[in-house]
Amino acid sequence: MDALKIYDEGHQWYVFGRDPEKPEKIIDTNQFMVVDGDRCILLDPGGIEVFSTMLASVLKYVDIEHITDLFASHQDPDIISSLGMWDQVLPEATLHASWLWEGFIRHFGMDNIQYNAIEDGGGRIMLNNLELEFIPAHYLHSSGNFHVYDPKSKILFSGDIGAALEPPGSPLFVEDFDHHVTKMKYFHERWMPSDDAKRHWLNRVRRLDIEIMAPQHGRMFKGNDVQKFLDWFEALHVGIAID
Amino acid sequence: MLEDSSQIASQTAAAATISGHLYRASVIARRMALAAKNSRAMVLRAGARAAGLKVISDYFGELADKTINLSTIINQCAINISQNSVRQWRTQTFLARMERCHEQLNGQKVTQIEEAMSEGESHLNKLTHNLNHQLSSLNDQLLDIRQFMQSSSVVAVTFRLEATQTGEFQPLLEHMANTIDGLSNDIKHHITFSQNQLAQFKVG
Repeated sequence: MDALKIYDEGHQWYVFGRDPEKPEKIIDTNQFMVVDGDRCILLDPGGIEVFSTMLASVLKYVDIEHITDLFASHQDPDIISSLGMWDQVLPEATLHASWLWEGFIRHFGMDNIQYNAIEDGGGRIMLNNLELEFIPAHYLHSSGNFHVYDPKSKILFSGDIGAALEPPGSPLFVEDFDHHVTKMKYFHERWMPSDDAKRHWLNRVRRLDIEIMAPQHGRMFKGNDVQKFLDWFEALHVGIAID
Repeated sequence: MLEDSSQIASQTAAAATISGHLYRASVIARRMALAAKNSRAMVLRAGARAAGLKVISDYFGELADKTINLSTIINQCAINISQNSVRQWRTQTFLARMERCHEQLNGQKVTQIEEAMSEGESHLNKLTHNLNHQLSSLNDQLLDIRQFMQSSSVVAVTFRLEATQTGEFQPLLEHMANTIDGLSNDIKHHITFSQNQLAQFKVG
């Protein structure tokens, strides 16, 4: 599994992905880790199939007792079906996810980890001195959905927004936005259900100062490409399955 | 030594199957209890000529009630075994994935995951211990029901013999004895099936 440190100024952001050992037919995912001193949070830690590699990759950068928090943007298996495994390896940890999904996510196995139910309006978490914001992204695509914004690094973890379906081994950052659109278009048209939800999210996110937008599949957007993505997404009609 | 997860999956399925068969056995036992009540009514109607049958029909009723109660207890026991097997499977999966992580770490920081692996193994041992205890208890209870049913078949023979003394009630009482005997055999069939399923469990 590839790992890249994408920010390192007082605290760190890492992205893990492009796992060559994952079974071929499961969708590739990006997992993120934010580290502030002796505490770190894993954002969308992934499915059960990537658990072993993910744990081994994470331990290259942090000690196991420093993984104090997990975050699940929503309830899908590629996001958090590894929970039953993390539950045994991190019994003292806290999982932050929408209140809507608690009873559902627990089906993945959660005997030890604490569940912090995020209210619909969002929330915050202090990771030592670092404050992270849980940004509502409901109905994009899940009905209880959150993103994570770090005002210090100006990184927005955007879950499935900005996702692209790509072959293994693709670069971690968008290099040619216009070309990349072809890989994102159908995903957003089909997976995202509501133009209203999209506009609501855009209004919220346009107020943030974003340097990197980091989706859970595909490539990250940096600098001007973030604005390009927001404009492109605004113009895109979504929810095409019922047209 | 980790058990093969397909073995645990088979055990989970076997426990669920036993639970299903015991439910069916308890339904038959209810029919048997009803048949015993009917035979008691018939014995009362036959009066003095069937006085010897009263004790026997009461006995059938008791056997049926005991079977219903025991089936309910065993059914819960089988469900517990099934749940225990699922927990074993989950812990097994966890340990297998931790072993893969261990290999990928190439000696770096392995001590950090060894504690979790050790906890997992200890948990698995506890689950295995629980399973062995539950299996032993289930086996004993299945044997008890089998014995009830064997007694029921033996008593049915006596019932038929006594019925010959009851004149015009003989055909009806014989039919009842046959019904009770048939139901006992049906229950025995489910018990035998459950005992065979139990043999799939690898006791460690």
